[in-house]
Amino acid sequence: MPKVKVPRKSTAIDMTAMCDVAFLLLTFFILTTKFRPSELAPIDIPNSTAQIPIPDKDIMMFQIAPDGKLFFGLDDQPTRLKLLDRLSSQYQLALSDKQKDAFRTLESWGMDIRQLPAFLDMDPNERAHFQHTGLKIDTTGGEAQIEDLILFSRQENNNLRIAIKGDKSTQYKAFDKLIQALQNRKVNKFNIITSARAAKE
Amino acid sequence: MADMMNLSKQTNNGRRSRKGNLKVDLTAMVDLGFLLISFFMLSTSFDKPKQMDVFMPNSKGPNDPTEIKLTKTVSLMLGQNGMIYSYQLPDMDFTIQDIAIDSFEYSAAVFRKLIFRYQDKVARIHGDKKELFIFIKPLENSRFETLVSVLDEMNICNVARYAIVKPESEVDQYIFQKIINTKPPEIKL
Repeated sequence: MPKVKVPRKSTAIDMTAMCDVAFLLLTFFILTTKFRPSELAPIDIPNSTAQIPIPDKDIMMFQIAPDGKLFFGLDDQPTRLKLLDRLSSQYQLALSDKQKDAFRTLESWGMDIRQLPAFLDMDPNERAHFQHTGLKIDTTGGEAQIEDLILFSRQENNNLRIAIKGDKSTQYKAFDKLIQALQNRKVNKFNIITSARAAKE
Repeated sequence: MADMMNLSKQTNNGRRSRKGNLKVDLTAMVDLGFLLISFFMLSTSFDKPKQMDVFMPNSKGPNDPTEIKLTKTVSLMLGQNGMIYSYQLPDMDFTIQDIAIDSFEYSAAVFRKLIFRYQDKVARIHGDKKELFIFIKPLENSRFETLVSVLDEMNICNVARYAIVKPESEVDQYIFQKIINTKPPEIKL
């Protein structure tokens, strides 16, 4: 019996289509991606059935870490700069252009406003590893730094919405202090950021 | 497309081009493509967080307290570790010892049952379950998660009237001392 000759086929596969698909998907992801902002503290947000997505712009975000530290962030860079101008005149901070530029790119921060110039002077790497001490809460009197932040930001951008992002395990008293500051500025409406959950369990 | 095999093998000027085909090995390019895809997939966040509207009672507004019958109101105190203390006051005079105080650990099912029970009771006495007014009184050491869950249940159970207030009434003080065994917080007036 003569052997059946199996024709030798090349193992090379045409990669063209696969390559096309890969880059098509890549383009999709590049265009839709919105990078997670770097977090100052890990915050695990609570669930709720709320269905309204957070608007993309005009957000003033307060973050409350599990240990009660408060962080502040504005999403809009021009407003950040205007806010910094107001703060520097209120707290007599003399800021260079370099420091202002550092503040412009600052996603969120939390410290005594008077410490800001020193913080902005650091080089970017140092700044990324800096331990934020949390906004200075002083409800009994004296300076009201949080109130100033709220007031100035809202004066510079009238459409700002206030969002509060708190960790599940944050104690209520940290939240309460923030609410008091908000109410001192006559803000009675704000949003709590939650992740989606189904109503039926 | 990549294997434009031998299309341009011969040119007019008679110079012989190389014989080998023009197939390009795309494996590396595909690798790179998928590597970048995985990077962008991991760095993107698809489940956009949602927002929940909260309205606080106006603390320094015009001083015009509207009177609500006590039997329409329910107080929920949120304590440590998701504990909830709830009570309802009668319209007439009462002694604190007679107030029935429910205490339980928060779970959506139990909580909902409680709210439905209060809604039924209010509907029986006042004719409409929408008359129910809930005071939410989070204690200082209660978890933020409990508050959010309770606020969420208000929406789910269609409780239209509720407010976050401070635990300042006499009964609240009593609960502090007898049940939670802590000192009541100082009340600033």
